[in-house]
Amino acid sequence: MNTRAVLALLAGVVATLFGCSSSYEGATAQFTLPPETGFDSVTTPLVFFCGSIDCHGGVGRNLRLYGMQGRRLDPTDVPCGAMTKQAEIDADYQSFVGLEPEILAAVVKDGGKHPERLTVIRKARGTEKHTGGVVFAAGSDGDHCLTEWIAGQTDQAGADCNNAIPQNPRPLCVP
Amino acid sequence: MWLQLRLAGVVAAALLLPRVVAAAPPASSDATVTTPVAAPAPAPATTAAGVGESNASRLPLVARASGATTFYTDTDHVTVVTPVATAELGDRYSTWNIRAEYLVDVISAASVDVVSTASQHWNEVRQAGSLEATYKPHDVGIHASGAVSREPDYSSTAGGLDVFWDFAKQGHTVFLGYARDQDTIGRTGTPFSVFSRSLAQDSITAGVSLTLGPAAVLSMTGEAILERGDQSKPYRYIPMFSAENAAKIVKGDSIDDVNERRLQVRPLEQLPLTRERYSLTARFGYRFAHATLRIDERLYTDTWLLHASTTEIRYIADLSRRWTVWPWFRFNAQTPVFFWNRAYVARFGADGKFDLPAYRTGDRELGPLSTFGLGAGANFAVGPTNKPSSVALQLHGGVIHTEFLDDLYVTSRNAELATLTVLGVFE
Repeated sequence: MNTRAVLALLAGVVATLFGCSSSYEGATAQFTLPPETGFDSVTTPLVFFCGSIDCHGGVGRNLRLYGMQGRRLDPTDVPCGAMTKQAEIDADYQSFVGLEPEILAAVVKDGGKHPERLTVIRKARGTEKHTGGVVFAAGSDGDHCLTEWIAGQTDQAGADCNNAIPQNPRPLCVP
Repeated sequence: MWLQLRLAGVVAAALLLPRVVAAAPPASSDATVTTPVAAPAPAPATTAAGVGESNASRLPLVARASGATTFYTDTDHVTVVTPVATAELGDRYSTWNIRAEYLVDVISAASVDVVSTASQHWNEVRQAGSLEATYKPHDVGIHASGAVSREPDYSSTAGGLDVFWDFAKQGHTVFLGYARDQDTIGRTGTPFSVFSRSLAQDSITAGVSLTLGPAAVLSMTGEAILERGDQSKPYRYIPMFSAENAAKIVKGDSIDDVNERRLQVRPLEQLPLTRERYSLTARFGYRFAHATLRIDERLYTDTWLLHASTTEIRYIADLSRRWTVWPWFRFNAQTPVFFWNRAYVARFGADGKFDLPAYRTGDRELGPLSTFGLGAGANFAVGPTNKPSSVALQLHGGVIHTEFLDDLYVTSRNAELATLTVLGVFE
């Protein structure tokens, strides 16, 4: 094998190795997740307990929350100012359902059974390490708020979400 | 990682022990060479050949023990300290050999990937142990190995068996091996019973070593690894963008830019559930009168379409009976996996319909990169005059520069690596 043939073979190997990759644009997956209906009820305790600026109100957080009790989406709004806006509810919803879409879709498909498959549920319950500690203990109103909404039981979720925050005295900045 | 280390061990057992040209330290031929874990310490110049200087009328046992500590630090604020203890026992004719190793990785990280999710700096400790045995009474030998590794969020258990055969009057060697690695991936602070994923790896290795002359050896090793399981990093969340904003994201965009432009949705990394990996490694060794030249070339490809080439050149010069030095150079380049994207696009539709990339990653070791490494090592034999290699000190170090060619947050990384080893041989 002469030198030219060796070089041609080498060039072919290099071209094969490095020439056939490109930016990945396709193969999207579509997930059926809980519709946003009723998430406005979920947002209130979620932002109240989790959405402070130094917690999930931080812009870098994977679960990023906006609302009256925390970071505002509109820079002209202030915490404890205007009521939580629809755009903030939309943002919270997308952040919440987008964390583990594959697992959430599986939980939805199973009618909401075994929601502890979701990291957000485990962290809220404190069964998984969570800097914020136990937020919604298993079986609590807050826990029911999340799990019932995931299961599509939005009416029950609404009531439990409301009860998740103390009623008397009602904390400041909570409608 | 263990599979690569095992391969190095197999090659050493099958090829290097009986040969004079084996003075070269083994290479770690990982496709992702930038992994900041303990690189295998270079083998001492005292191999079976070095032991041969002793008096053959003594007990036919040879024991080796070494202690090494590797320090790694990089500009991405990752620091790893890895003390390693190794003990080895065999006969002077390399008929059998048992080797045990224990290491601890102490990792401290505040890398951009940690900071970008507003998470805190973390520290972690990994412990790993391995046991290997080689038996080669005649032309055919067998090598068995096992390893365990434990860290708060990762558990690994592995075992392997290799057979090698010397032929043509022991001038050449062929070998064939199989290994199984069963891993459990979890999350720190959470019991595996609450959250865990399984990852299984099966590896087949085959190769040949050819003695090309009195001073030259060429070995070719092929390896196929089948990985099954979800190896997605359970902490790695991937920023998503609208199609419009994705086009504006440029290489090396800052954390603030990404947080400002990304969508609210930031899903966990999702990798394909199977991966087949193939590599072909060629090693050429040539022994000069007072030096050994070693050239390694590794070609790698896998079903995620990551293709890589790693070249390493090492020149081990015997300056005297006591001093050996080895400058080394390494270059690695790789293409991205087929699902690599600097800025992934997601779309929300009506009624909870949600389009996401089926596969998505932020692991820059899966992206396009090139790595240059340059360094040197030295072995100082401090034993008595009749057996200077019975006690040795080694220092091995280098600098590694990595260019990330299509990544968020960072475009390059500089790393320093140093290993200090103390080695003793007892007969």
